[in-house]
Amino acid sequence: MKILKHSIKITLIVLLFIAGSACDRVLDVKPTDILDQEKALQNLDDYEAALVGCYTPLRGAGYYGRALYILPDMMSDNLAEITGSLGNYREMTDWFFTPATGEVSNFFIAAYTAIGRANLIINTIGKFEATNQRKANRIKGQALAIRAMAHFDLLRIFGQSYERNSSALGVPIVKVFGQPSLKPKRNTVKEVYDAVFEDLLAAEELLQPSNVDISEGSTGFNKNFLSLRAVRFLLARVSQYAEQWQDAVKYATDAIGNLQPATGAAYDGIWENDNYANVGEVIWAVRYNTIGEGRIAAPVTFFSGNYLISFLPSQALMSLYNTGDRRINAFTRVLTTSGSAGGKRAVSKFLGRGGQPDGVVDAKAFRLSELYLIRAEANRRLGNNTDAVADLNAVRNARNAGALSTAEQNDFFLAIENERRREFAFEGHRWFDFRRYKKGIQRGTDCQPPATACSLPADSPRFVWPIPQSEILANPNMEQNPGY
Amino acid sequence: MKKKILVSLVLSFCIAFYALAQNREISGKVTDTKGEGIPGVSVLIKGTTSGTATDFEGKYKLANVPAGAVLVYKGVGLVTQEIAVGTQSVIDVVMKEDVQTMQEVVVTGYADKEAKTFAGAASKIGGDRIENVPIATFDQLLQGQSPGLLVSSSSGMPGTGRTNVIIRGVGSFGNVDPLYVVDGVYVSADYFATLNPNDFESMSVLKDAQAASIYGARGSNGVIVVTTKKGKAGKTQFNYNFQYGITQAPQNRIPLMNTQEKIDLELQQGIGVASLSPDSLARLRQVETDWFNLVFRNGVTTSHQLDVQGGDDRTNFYISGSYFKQEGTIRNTQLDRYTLRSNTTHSFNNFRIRTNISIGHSISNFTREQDVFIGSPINAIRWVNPYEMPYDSRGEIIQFFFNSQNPNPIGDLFMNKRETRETKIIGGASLEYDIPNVKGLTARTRWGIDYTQREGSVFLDRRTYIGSQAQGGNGSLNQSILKDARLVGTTSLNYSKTFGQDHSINAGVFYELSYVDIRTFGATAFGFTGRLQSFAGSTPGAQGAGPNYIPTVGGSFTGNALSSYFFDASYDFRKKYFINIGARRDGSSKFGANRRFGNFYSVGASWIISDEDFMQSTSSWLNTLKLRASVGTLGNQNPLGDFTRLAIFGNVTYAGVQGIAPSNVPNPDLQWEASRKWNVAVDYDLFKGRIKGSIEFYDNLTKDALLATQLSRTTGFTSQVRNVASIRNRGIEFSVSTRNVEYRGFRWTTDFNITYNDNKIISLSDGQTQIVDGFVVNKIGLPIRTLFAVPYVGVNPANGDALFRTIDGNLTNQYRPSDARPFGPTIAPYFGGFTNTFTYKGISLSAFFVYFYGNQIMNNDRINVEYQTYINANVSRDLLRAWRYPGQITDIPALSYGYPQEPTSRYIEDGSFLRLRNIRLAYSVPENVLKQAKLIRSATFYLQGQNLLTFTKYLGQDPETANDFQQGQYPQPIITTFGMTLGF
Repeated sequence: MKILKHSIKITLIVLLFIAGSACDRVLDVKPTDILDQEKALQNLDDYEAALVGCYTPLRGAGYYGRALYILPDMMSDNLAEITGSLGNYREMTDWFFTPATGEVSNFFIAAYTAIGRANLIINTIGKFEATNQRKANRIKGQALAIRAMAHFDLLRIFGQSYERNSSALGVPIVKVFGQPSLKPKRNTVKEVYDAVFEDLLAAEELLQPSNVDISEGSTGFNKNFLSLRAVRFLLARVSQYAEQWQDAVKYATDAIGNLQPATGAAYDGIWENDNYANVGEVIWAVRYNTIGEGRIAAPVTFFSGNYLISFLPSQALMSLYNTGDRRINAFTRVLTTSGSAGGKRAVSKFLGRGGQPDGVVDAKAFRLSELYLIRAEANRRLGNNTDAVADLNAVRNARNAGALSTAEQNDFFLAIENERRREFAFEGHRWFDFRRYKKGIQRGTDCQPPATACSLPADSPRFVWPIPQSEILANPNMEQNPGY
Repeated sequence: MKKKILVSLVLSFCIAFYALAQNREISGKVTDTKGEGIPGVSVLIKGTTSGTATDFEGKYKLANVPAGAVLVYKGVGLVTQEIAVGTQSVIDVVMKEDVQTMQEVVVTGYADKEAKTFAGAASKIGGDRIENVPIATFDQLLQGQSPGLLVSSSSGMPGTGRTNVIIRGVGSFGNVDPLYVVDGVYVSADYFATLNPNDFESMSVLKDAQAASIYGARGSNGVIVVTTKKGKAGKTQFNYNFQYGITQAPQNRIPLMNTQEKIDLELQQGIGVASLSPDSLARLRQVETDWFNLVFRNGVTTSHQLDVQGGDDRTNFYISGSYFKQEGTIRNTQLDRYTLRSNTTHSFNNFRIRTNISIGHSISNFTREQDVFIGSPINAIRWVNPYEMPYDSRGEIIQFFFNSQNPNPIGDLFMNKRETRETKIIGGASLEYDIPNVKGLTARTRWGIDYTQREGSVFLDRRTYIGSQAQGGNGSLNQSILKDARLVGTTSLNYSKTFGQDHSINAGVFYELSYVDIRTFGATAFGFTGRLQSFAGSTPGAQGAGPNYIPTVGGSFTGNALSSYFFDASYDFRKKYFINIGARRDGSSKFGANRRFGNFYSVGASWIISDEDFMQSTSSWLNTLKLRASVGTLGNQNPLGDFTRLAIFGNVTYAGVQGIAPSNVPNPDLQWEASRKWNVAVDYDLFKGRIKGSIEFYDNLTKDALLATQLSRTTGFTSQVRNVASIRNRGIEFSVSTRNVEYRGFRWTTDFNITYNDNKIISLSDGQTQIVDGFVVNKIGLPIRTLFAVPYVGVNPANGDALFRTIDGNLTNQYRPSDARPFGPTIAPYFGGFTNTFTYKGISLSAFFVYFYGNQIMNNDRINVEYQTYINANVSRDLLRAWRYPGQITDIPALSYGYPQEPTSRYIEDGSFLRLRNIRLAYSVPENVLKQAKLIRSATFYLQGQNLLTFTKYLGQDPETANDFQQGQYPQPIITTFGMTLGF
């Protein structure tokens, strides 16, 4: 009995001891699906992975997934809302959005998420540059380009002015990562432009073929990532918004290089088939592989079975195309079903890869024709009319739209505007063009219920989106735009 | 050593010799109060180890009983008796059931405590309160049963839908699930559908710091301790329970337009059918589809349970098996459950061994609910037009309606298949050892496992609307598996001793290790163009020219661990003054590097005033008056993510390339939410139990409440989880049980409880006064999740515009979110339940009501049928009142008026309700009748109604919800059953 008693006591003590000593080990539960920061970034391959992480916010509904691609057209006059629309975006499309509207904060968050991720790379990759300078340059160059693009897109949406040297409020320039205490003030428009140009020029330098391991034409080059050409494209686009016309011509020319606008089936093929690897028309495309990654134009696209469709191309837009213009059939298709969209022409530009009507298709974010049209606009501003007309006609001829008439040449800026409208229909340019041209929106006769608003004057404060309410609440230094 | 043995040898020799001369044989029978023999009662000669046990008929025979000996009769669940032998040779004993101790024990999960001495706040719910109620999940059955316990369920789907259980108010912005302990094993709050509530002996609800003190970092939400049934010593008994009945859906309370009204509306608005020819219109006007009827049905509910129990003084067992089936009120929803349980205890020498093992398997077929998706059948029945027909001329289901722009609800319900198969094992074993030579010292080690395996399967037919939206456009099959394993081991040393007459102490030290490990795996395959509905029927496919059928695969792991030391002690003086103390030190894997360990304590004291000499004069009517109070701190670690403490990078993919992205802002100072709890209570018993109950006052202050502190979005993150906020819950609980009438076998008793809880946010993160989240706000000074909306005033008779009140009090037709102001709380501040029971001879009638008062609900179902731009789909009949001409006074704006879909106060409704939760009429066959039948020991037949009546102003199918807003909620069914219980 005594022996039993002792052994029980000993066992108990041992049990308590074992259990007690095990505790610290037990508490160290390690995740398997996620990485600690220290383990996450240990070499340039990890930075390559982190770079991939900078692109995913651009793919989401807050960026090319909707807010910056189909939505600006829904908010303009290229699309008309039809009966049967659930009206999920009506606050945006009929311009009664508020600081609390989800679409507004979606974009704000997506852009700054991309900026933060880019900053992590830009600020810390230096430690590993020595291991492979060319690879590091390629990664850092893209991160800089993403940071610049996101700041610029924020400026396009929230900035109170597009003027290059304006002291009106732009957006905060952020160059740090993961500082919870950050509560920045808005920088001026000029400061944002300065920062964007600085980053883009730095990126342009880093991404020179002689400085990187992979460049256009070499193995592993992929148009879903930003290239030197894409950086120059951005420089051209930013210069256009800033109305620095000489720069716009210069960068557009650099970006175009020896590329020619795509013609015929090659042009059609980039839409439904994502067949653009060897087509110069596409300079950068945001990749969508599955439904889970997003469908860029869900509100306007008819999917299998021709179900739910909320917007049709406006009559005003369709009437702008000359008979025989390739774009009519490349962008739209007559529906064969019943229902409110039955028998009408609907957007087919983003129908789905391989013609599969599931809406999974890449957003061709940077296109060659935009460079031609930027250069045309810039040259005209600079008085180089012949060059301007040549560029515009290059695009028109490639689309089988015929050369500009004399009347059109005489009203050249309208011709440019209309050409941009035709070429970039549903690609998120129209809203910003209204703002750039300082024109009001006047929707046509197909602006009918359920649409509740048909015109927006040029001086409407709605052209500048409100800073999201959530940001105003979290950041006392943030100033709201007028009218909200 | 040697010497001792010799001495004892000699001694025992002497005793034996003495015995030979004086001893005799004693025999007799041990019976219960009804005269039935009780087998397995031990009969011992006091002070020795010699004795025997009663046989099957309760008889015993014990030889060599010395004259002057005292015999001790002991049995499980029976009051121990000691009888001096004297000169008798036949001793018959009538033993009483030890009802007293069974009722008055507080089960804390680590120890059973005498209620009388307990200073904490705990209520006990007897198993009989939930027995045979035809609801699958036991947490739903707790509704209205205990003061301080708010139970609301957002789904009436059999076996699915998570129940919201809140003990004494919401003290956190995160998860406030109580900790559930079944027979000493921590179990997940997520899977109760596979446990059989009929196996439950009792449930204890531990509410204050003292009662839950030994749960430390997990105790602040309260603890629900379930004890399952044990076998009783005695004759082996069989019980068979059977139940059969019907489930019905409650009425739709939002009237929708009928065919004529809807067609007229569309003609008037020039939409939809307006483009049809008069002939087609005339034909459409003949159609009147009852969509509710197509989706809802009367289901069948049935259950069978057989249990067997028995044992003797050393061993007892309880074994049960059950089958439960319930068809939901929505077609094709159903739960089938099979359970098995075995509980045994055995003692030998100084050891006691106990095992509790339950195994359950359930299969549930479910439907989508509580979302705003047009493809969810419960939404679609409201949104599809009454002139649309479910089937085409060939009898095929029409999948999509172009007029209402809505899928057919029965397309999804009949052709797609959603199923969950769950297997759950809860097993526990403990070994207890009374250490000899140190009286009152016991060592115990107890180990348990809660294992849940859940297989989900969703098959989407390619012909259905949802199936056609799948990747590749040809249906999909998703199968997933979740394995949730929870382990706990507790080793303890307990000591209890009485010193003299006046002092006794009870103390325990514990070490506990617990671990949670959750793994999932799932895959989705596409391209179901053939007939097979398994993975075999999928089409593997590559990207490129053809459809994208590439399957997707996912999986995850998460887990956490806790290592804890704790201490628990109580002292009483003269059985009148009591002090309880408890302390616990918890180390948790969820805490940040700087805060690995948390310390928690509690102190409680109670005083039985009625036992004082000076209360002698009132003792005739004031039988018990007890004052108790406690204070302490407890923690809540539920809202902490398992890895939130770390700076983590998640995996992302872009363009088919793997990448990483930071997914949170780390916080090394992350810790538990600490809650300081006060409790003061009075227990009373008047007129010998005619009126008894308790009044409790509590004040709980959660400091360090976790809040996703909003960051400037420019950081690239929206929030960081920090311990910053504080929340207070103060309240009063009142409960009373009365025996109103006791006259000639007629008896009327009432149990009543009410709780008032005042929930208030004291502070948010620095400088913040409110956090708006859609249409709810967390604002300092208001209850958590208060509804927040722009006040809707009515309609401008001049132009039909909606009118809103601005923050300055003016009227405007402009909807601006900045005009939103707080409305009512979404969690009821007043709630409770009451039962009236009438019994006369073998007949009993009991009616149990529950009530919730003072909460508001945003009725999103109404928004979707009243929003004027959704008029392509079916809409509320209220829109018939929409403004049409200047000067018209109405409450519905003109249909042409476009204002945002944002919820306004127009849709905020009072969520209060009173519900006849259960009514039961039972008849027990008298024993003298049964005696003739011989085989049957007992028989009870009953009729039962669940949710038969609901009184509410709320315009929804079911006012009960755990959500801030109600949308497409599967309503609680009305269940009527017949049942019987037979004992053999």
